[in-house]
Amino acid sequence: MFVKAEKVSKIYRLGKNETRALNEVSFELERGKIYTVIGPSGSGKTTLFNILGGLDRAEEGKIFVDNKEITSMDQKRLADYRRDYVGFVFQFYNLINGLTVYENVLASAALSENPLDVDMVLKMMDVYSERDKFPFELSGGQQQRVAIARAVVKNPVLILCDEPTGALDYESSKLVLKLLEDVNRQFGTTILIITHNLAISRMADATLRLRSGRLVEFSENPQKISAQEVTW
Amino acid sequence: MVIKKIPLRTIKRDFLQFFSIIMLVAIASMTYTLFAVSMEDIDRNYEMFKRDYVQEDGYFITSKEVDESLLKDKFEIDLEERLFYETQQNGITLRIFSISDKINKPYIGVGKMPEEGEILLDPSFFKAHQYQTNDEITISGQKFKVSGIGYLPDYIYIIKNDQDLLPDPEYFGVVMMLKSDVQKLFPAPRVHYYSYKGKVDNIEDFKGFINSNWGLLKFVERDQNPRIIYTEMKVENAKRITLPISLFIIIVSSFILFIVMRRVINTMHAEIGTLYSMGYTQKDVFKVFMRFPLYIWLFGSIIGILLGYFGAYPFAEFYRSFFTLPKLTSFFPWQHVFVALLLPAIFIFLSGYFALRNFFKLTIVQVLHGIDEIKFGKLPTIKFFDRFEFKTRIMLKYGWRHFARELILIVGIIFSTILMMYGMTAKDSIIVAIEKAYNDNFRYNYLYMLNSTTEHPEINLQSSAEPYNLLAFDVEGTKASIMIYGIKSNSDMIKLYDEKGKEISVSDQLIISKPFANKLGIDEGDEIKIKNKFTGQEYTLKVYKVADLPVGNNGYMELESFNRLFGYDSGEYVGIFSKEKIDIPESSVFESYTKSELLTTIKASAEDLSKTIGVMALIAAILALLIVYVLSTLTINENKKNIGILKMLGYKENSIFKMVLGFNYISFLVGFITGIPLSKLTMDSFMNAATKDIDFAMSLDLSINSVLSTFIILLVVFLLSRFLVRAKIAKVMPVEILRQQVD
Repeated sequence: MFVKAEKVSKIYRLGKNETRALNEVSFELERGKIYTVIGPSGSGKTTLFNILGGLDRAEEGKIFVDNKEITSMDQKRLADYRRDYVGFVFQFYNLINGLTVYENVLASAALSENPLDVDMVLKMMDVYSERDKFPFELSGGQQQRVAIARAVVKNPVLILCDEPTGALDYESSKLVLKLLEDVNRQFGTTILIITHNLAISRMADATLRLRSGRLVEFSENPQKISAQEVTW
Repeated sequence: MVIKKIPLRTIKRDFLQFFSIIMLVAIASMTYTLFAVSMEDIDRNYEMFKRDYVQEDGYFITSKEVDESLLKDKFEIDLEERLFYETQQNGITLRIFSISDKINKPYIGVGKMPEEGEILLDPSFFKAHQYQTNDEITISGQKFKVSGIGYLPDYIYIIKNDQDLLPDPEYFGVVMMLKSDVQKLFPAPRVHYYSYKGKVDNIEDFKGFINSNWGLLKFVERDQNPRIIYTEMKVENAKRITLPISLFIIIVSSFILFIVMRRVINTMHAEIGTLYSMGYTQKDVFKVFMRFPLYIWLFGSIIGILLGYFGAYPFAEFYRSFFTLPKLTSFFPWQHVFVALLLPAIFIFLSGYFALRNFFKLTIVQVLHGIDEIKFGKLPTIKFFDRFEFKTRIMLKYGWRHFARELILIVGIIFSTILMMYGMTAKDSIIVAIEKAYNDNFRYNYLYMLNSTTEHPEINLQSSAEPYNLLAFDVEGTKASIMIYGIKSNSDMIKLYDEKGKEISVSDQLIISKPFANKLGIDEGDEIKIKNKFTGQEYTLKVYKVADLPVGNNGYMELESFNRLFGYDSGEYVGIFSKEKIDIPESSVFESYTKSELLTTIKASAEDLSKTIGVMALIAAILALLIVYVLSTLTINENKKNIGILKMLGYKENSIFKMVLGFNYISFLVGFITGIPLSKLTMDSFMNAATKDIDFAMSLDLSINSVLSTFIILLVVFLLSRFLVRAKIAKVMPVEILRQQVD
């Protein structure tokens, strides 16, 4: 298994109050597939995203990615893990305003031992013509494509997307989904999309449904459709 | 690492904000470099001049010619007689000295050493009268050719009288010529002037010996010679203020940088979190963000050092011309450049480090989501404020919320007030106060110092003239000295008043001047132990009153009581105060000056002082402008959302401005009001420290004029910076805020 989560729990404490954001969640993900994580607000989607991405730590349980246990890694090894294995796409793009489109992508490529060609990725994401612009000069859709380019360019094995279409209009959202699908097909990258939008699940190989920190459903999608066919 | 570009781009984006901090650092470095380098330049040149041209350890004037070899052998000193004469022509006083071979040798700045029929002029006089070498000048009816400019090691601060405060080359100059030429001009010397070099173990014995054998008229040790010591004092003062001023500006800029850095980091939290998510480590991020202080330090200190370095030499030149010091050597002040670089570096990097340190304590998820973001826009809930109407309440809450920066603003205004007041007060104290003193206290128009203390039957004193007697004393346990005058009771020439303006009647008891009382920390009723400078005889006198005089180490008592106490016969005196010019045989006069000469000198020098004040006021104003601008901009940037919402609610820009930045007015006033007594305190302690080891005393009093001028200048600067900031409020568009809210 490419990703294996065993009884992963995460507890947030605020004074005497405890909130179990994740409660003994276990699942397995295969390499090269697309997954969606759905669930209402507070169901633990983002917590799972953070722990899988090595941004946060689980309190209990274990997670293995490519046979490496990330839950036992120290900060330095977690940074290496993020650098070598994971690409992130955030809802609000999180591009670095002080860098141009090209430099934003290059900042990511520079960390990788085996990066893709920056210009090639920019062309793939259809933002090559914007390469010398700064993020604030781009539309939301363009910014998100740059963010995907930044995630893809270091050639990661896993791309985690947190509501990648959450701030975009319909057309831009569809384009972003198509690009993620293209990346998955072309590079065999495992993609995990956290979303509120149930329609997106239809392009995934499987969907994890979370509720109150628990994994309530892990459903394969035998009738997977292409991103272009997804409508809502 | 491409991410290294982030700081420079951010600085470019928020250019004015960072530029202001860079300018603060630049001013600090410039101030340090300017003063340190120029003072070092003056110091080194002065030390070399002192050593190579053999500055005297003292001089004395006797009524009879001394036995030089006897004195040299007995006290193991080097001694040289200098022919000395003073002449007046067209209102200009020329003090003529013969050129010495051993002590106080002249340095030829321009031209050559004079031969027979030639003279050297002091540089200030030469310049003020636009002389050229080979010009002719007539002295006492005889023509001389100007062979060049000569600098004398004992006439660095060229004042005519010991008690003068400022030089006046328009009306007073020093002339150097060959001994033979002086002898031709003035064949019979009235007095004998000697310079000595060497450490005398017992100065009292020395003076006593000279006095008993050859009649000592005047004895001045090097450390009590204002023509030498004023220079050293001014250089010391300049050195003393260099470090505190620079340090203060650096610390204020570091605090502001700390606040700005925190703000920058906070606005970039998502970007930093993303860098982490990409695999960048804390160390990588630290290295990138420490470039903010690096650039600010580098740009600021380099600009400052360059400005300071290139300004230092003209500045030193200005000082040198003020003091008539020659430039003998050049050097590169690497140690000051190093300090000017290091000093800001320490504080700037520390502030950058601390701003980042707190941020690094957050987890990556916290960094990504920016938990501090909420804190910045949030106003405190303080019940006390709720009693006020809405706008005032919000204004107070903003003030409270940004308490730290309001405090920096207050400190900045205090500092600017002190700096500006110092400049204003220097002018007030030296010019206005002395003018006032010479109108209110010293009512004579002519002062004659005679060359002996006798009854002077050769002089016919008119009703408009009053005799006085004078003795100089050392104050035991201090390095201070006092000149005690014996004057007529109910004198029309010297009027003394107490601090309330009530006239003090002169009696057989001692009245001392306020600056002297302040300097020694004594008051009415206290006793002082004094020792006659010539005879060494000791006296213990009780201070009867303290007279409100602006300057001078003076004491006064009734003439006959003075004579009785200090061993003179009744009717003896050494000088005359007079309303009108009186005819005194030339051979009886030691020195003389008129009040109008002194006042002209003061007015002429006012221009130079105004320049200094201008520079100080400019630095103070720029500082205030930068501090108010940066802090206000920060507040606006942090509160853009709130400003946008207030605009959406229908509040006008003026009201919003008052709500968000209205507290600044309170801070400004608090800063200014606190600055006034602190200015007085700072200046007093500064003056005490500066004059502690020398024979000089002056009161620094703040006048209403200087307080008002300072207030008006600072208020204009404050309003200007607010005007600049106000444009930022106008730029906040509610629609953008709405869009951000949707995001």
